Amino acid sequence: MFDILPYPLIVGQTELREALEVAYVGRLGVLATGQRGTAKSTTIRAFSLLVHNDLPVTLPIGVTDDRVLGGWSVEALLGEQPRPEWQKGLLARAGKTGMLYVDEINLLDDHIVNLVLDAAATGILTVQRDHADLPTEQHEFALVGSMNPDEGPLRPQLLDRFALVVSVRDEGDPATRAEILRTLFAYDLHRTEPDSDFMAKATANAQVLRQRLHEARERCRGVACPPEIIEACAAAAAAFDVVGHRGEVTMLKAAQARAALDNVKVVEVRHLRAVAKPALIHRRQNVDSGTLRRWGQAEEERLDEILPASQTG
Amino acid sequence: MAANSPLDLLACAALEPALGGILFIDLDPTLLAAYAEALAAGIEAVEGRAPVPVVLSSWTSEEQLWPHWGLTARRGVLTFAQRPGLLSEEPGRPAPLVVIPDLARVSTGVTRAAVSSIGAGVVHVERQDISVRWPPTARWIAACSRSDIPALSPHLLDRFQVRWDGARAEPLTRPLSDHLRRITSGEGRRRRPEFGGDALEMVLRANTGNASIRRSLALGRLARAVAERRSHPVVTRDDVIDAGELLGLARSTFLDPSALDGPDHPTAPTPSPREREESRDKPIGQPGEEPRQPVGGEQELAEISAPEIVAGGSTDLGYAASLYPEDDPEAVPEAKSLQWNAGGRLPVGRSGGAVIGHESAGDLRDLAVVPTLLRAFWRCRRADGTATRLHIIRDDLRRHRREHRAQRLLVLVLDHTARRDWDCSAGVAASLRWAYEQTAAVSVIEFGHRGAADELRPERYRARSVVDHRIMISFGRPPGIASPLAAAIDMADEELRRFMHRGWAAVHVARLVVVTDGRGNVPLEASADGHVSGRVGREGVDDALAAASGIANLRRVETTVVAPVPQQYRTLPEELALALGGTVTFVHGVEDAP
Repeated sequence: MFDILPYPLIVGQTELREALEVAYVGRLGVLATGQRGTAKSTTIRAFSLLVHNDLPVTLPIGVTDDRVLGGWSVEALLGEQPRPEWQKGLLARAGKTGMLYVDEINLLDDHIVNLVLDAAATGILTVQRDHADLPTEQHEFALVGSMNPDEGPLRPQLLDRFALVVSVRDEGDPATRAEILRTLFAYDLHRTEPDSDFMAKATANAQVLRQRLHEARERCRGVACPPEIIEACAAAAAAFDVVGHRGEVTMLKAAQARAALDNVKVVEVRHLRAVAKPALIHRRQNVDSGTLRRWGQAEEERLDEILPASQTG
Repeated sequence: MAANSPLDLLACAALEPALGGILFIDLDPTLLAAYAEALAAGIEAVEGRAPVPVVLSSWTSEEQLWPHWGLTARRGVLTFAQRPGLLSEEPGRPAPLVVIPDLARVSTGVTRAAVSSIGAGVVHVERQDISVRWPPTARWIAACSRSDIPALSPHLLDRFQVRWDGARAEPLTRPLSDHLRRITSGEGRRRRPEFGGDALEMVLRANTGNASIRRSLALGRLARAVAERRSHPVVTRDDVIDAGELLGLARSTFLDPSALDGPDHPTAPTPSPREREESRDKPIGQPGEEPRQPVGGEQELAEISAPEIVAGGSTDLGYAASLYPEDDPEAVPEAKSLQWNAGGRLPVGRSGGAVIGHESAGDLRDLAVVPTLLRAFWRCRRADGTATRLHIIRDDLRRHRREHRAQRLLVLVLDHTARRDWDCSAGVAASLRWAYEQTAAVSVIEFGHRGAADELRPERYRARSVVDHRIMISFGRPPGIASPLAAAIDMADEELRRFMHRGWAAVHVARLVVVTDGRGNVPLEASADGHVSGRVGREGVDDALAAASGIANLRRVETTVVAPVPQQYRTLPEELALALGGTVTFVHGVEDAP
């Protein structure tokens, strides 16, 4: 039994929660970047428990490449009747669940990052190592990461692999902080009592939310993107000097997911507006630096001009 | 009088499993072991099972911490067996009680383990065909010298929110377990106290500064343990105040800020040392203890001296800066704890960079388990393809071949606008020679030259060594006009962190050489946006100085600003060198050389 706060009990971190939900519905990746103690990992793990009923397939610091790609099982070689037996790696497991979580992603060794990059980019895993030549496999998964920017930036190539990026901050509002403490102290007391009112309510809320997310995911691909929405998306990307075209593509997919969550069949400008910041913040021209550029009031106002919330497609 | 002895703190720690790490500051070295022993006995009294003490230090390797494969002799033959790590936990087995005698000198593996385990809901290990996860329940106590705290990573400090000043330390005079058994025996442990709204407000009020929410959680959980010791069904304001005192918080911290607006606060006399001593000897937290007067309003002002001084605590509101230096918004500690080779050494068993293959092993270091076993398998395999149980002989042993990575780095920032009619080679020669001798990797960041792809942005390339022909070409570029110095310094900061903080074989030592006259004329935001809007003024210079402050806090980086002997603006290179935490070398131009 893992001591992870149930997702419905997470207070605050609205941007991160929204990004995770949109990403799940649209089958996209998310990077949460922020200072220590902002519940990035907790929120991501809790979300995975909500939608997958299990913790995410996790690539921790110190992971070895045989665990990433797969390798020969040591236990099988050490058995009474030794035999070489291939043990699948984390990328293959992530392909099954659809999500790979990398904690402290900016501290990963470069060669591990390269392995993840290849698989995340192509969805194809080809393994030839230790006398093994395995058939190519298709493993598509959403890359979800968390990092503390104090420990250094992320390589731009890896940053580009995340559809959405959320800058997570401490909750400054005293009422929210009080609610966080109230919830956590109550959870301390009741976490081992599933029948308590507190936990029963969290479980019921989780079921409702899970159902809503699964349904939205099912209908997401059927959500239409009218031509004017595509044009508005391109205009936003151009206005923010976005590098490449992945920004527009992921922004549209995220807007589709947002519309699916709202249970509408056609993407509207408000959906684009809702996902524009996390889709564009990390794609603005910044030489080859992996540091996120500042996003302030001016950027919000520019988005308001290009994607006025009152416009409905 | 509140109960605020080490015994009280340890009793609370035994009762509250989610308290996080406890850090004793400037503690008499002989006391830590005694405190660990008392805490272990306390945990046994509360949970019915004693934890396993584990001492971690500078020589504890990452491999020792987590489950791993080790060579072993079984039934007379050599083979591999999976061994638990020092931090491994299994259901039904006692959890570790981690004791760290000097947190500032602990190995990088331990630091990473602390960051990823303390307060986490799950620990994942994915190493060498071992894939396990468990909910961590280990308790952590550590000691550290006060002078070392500011250099610790905020990431690590965040996991040790309970801090105790060694000046308040004292030997333990009575067993912790007896008192705790009284609380948890009989009808079993009572329901733990709930949190009331008043107490919650007090917890929030204590967090006046820049502290993370983990601090509030630690205070609240400590207060809950205080309440439990007093058999309070609900955590009271007094419980929070007393828990605050355990953390060195002045009682005045908990005053309603509006109550402090008056010109003069009536002050109660500070208790004498004798009174304090007497109060320590009184039984504490006993059921049926007289509840103290509520705190607030006039009563509050009459009872609490403002500010009351607790040894090692704050004489002002909030947490003591000497115990919690990371609260200072200006503090930029050196982020070293999560990087490898902080002490200039590789982790035990590691000899370099990424694994690129394997080779015959001459000793038992850095063994490649699977290649060794495969070799044994091929040797033991019978004609029908099956094999008997593997035994390993010397010829089977394989070790990893690792990519060579430079352990020295030279970052060269070239401002070509400063090189007009000036030869900087005398200023950079020593560093280029050092890079050659040390086979250092080189990163060149250059700007302000004619023909730049974008004159508002610096360009960067990485060379495996200083003999790369591109470096000589860089020294010959004709100067241009724009000087995005701020973006270049920012990029140099990223470059240093990238090479020094990542991976097994991170760079040990780096030199940063900035060739410039300090006259940056492109603000950082203009470099990012790709265009300059309006008058620039000093903005480019100020941005460069601000970007430099991050580099000043990096350890093992030696920084030099090489500048032309100035005709004017002499202070600019000096200001930059100061901000970078380095030195400035003025070099005469070609025409005015002596």
